[in-house]
Amino acid sequence: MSALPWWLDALIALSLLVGAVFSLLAAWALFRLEEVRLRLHVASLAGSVGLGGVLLGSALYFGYQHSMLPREGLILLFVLLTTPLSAQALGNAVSALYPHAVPVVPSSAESKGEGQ
Amino acid sequence: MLTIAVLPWVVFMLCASITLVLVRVCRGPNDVDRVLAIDVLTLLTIALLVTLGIARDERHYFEAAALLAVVACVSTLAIARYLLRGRVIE
Repeated sequence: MSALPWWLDALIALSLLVGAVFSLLAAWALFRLEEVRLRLHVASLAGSVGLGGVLLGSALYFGYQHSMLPREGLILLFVLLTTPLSAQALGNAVSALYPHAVPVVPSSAESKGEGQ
Repeated sequence: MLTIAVLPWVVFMLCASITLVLVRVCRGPNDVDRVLAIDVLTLLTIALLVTLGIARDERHYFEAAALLAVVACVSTLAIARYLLRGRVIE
């Protein structure tokens, strides 16, 4: 751990932080949003970005520290390939099971004007 | 070292995310919500495993993370197919 140059250290810390912050944003949105399709959108977007940041940090760290070919790209490739697939399948399930659920997307003026 | 100083915060944020997603799993109004939340939960667990691997300078956590990525995708697709069709295998 002592042999890391400062720029690589900063880069690893930055990508880990970005990944963790995006994961926290995705989880907060998943907790907060009130309709299924909005949650589906947020989860499929930000989940992969958050995981990508953490995996990038790990790939840089292990690639430099142990001078081995980092295989984190394998996980990232797999997740990036399959997240749209599962989002599509879950969206189809939503459309089939709850056809009358209309996505609630209030504009900011509306939600400010007629708050309940 | 910047990375060592950052690691506890990363673990804290990932654990807070896991708590929020677990609340969604318990509270989700329908099945699709729960499947989606469990999918995100698996991604967060992969991130936590990889972070733990950096913290302990141990390469073997990566294998568990890779395995979890594969299983998570296949199981999410299978459950979505079950919700849609009522059966997994035609």
